[in-house]
Amino acid sequence: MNLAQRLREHIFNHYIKDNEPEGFNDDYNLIDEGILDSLAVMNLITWLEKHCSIEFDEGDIVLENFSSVNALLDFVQHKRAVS
Amino acid sequence: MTLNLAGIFFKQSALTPEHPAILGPQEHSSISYGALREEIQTLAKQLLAAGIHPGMNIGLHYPGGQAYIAFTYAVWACGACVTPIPMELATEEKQLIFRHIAIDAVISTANCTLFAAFTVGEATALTEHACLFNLKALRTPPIELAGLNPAFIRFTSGTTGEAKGVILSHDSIFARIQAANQGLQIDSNDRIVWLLSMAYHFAVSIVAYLSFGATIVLCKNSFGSTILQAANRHRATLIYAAPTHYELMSHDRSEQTLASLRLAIVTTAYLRPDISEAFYRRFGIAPNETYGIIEVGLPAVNLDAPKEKRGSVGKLLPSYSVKLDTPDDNGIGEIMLRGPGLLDAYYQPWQARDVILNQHGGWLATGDLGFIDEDGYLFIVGRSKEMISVAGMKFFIREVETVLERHPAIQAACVFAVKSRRLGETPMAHVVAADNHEPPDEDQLKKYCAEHLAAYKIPDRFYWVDSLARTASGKLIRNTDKLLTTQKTKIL
Repeated sequence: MNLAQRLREHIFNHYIKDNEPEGFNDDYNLIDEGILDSLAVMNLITWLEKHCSIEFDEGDIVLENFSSVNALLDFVQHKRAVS
Repeated sequence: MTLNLAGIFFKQSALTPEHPAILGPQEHSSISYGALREEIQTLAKQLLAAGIHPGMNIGLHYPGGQAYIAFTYAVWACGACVTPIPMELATEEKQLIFRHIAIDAVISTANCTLFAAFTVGEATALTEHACLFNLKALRTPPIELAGLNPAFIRFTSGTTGEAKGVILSHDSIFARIQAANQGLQIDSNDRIVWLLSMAYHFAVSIVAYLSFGATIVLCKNSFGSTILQAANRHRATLIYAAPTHYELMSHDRSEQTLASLRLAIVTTAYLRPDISEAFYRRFGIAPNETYGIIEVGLPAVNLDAPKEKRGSVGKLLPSYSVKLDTPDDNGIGEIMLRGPGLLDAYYQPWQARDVILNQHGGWLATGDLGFIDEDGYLFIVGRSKEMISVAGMKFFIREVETVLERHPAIQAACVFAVKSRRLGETPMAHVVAADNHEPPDEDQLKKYCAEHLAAYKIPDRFYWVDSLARTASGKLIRNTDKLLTTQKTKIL
């Protein structure tokens, strides 16, 4: 399973569960649509640091990086590229 | 005359009908006290028409926001009681609430199918997004309940894995918001940024703000820049938030300040000193740590020395008394409290307030450990109950162990807390494999847990062990350092 699949599965299993919204896809807005609250964001950071071997800096915890599955994947790719 | 919190709100809204009750979450969205009263009264009429009446208990399964507030007050206006069903719980956890608390109907998102199996008749549409579902009776309520004038039943899982619910009456909530306001001094000049889950935080916060004529500011999300924008746009005087929110605000790199803020209330969990210092350096405001507990309310707030006594929840507010039970050599003992508005009863097994307090000579045993310094400031240092707090979301360890031990490949489990920089604590688990079963890998175990538990309760790591560590008397050892260093473990 690649990272995108694992991330999608993680978000689905932990934060969506039986409340699958209509039209959910990799560009679905996880913040505006209430999928990720602040606790979920913090949990997700822990998961990403563990599974993607990246480390979040203070300035990384911003809306743009968490707005969708694709935004998260772009962020991980960027972190890996600069590390 | 029976006190009703909806009546308190209606009186306040008659005094200040044009005053904003809620601002946000969208930039220009607002509702006045008068308009919110109308919304609540319209909903109450719909609920009455659908058969809701005094003595009933209504589950509320809905996202936090203006509608959540309106539904709660509408249920109260009908003389019924509210049991919050937190949205983030796993289906099984939600079902547990219905098995243990007698719930007559539930207000839920319109597309929710969770209650379909035990719904009676057609759902009643309340708004575009919410419906009322009447439910089959799964159990009968305790006969003593109706006599308490209940407003809330907050379900909590018990220490032994058995369920219990905390019952708060209208009278108790009113008493505790009056007691809290002796310190907070909230009035109609206040605009309070709200960032917490309404399913867990309502009684001494939202109810207080609306009873004292203040304005609630809702945010679109919990990122630092968004909170600061909302606080500045609406000239916030208070922020009521968890440590995580203060950390996120501290990291904001914009030039935004919090010029109009008079209190930065921290609740739900211990505030790390480095977050407190970062927030102070960034905004020149020392966060006010608090002691909030569902059975009591808000007995302590560090109002007068948040910087000098960092780490303390302050002195007790005037209406409350504290003592420490059997303090050790360092003066640390279990925090015992006395004051107005204590819980009215535990739901199951039923225990009335007098019975609960009589066990400890009229004091409420909080299960929290703390000490009081020479100046009278209370510091909380831990818990005597076996609980874990993940970013302020508390749960009993046994609840997670019970789920793990139901897995066919697990014979026994021991869950324990490990310090986490971002979350305060995270759960981890030692698991003993059952005979003749292939041990599942970590992903499989986490997926299994996610089917039964809310995300924050799922252990971050699992370790297979030959046997669980126990004391000489056979009690499970949950000391993290001992468990992580002295036992031969295998990381999955």
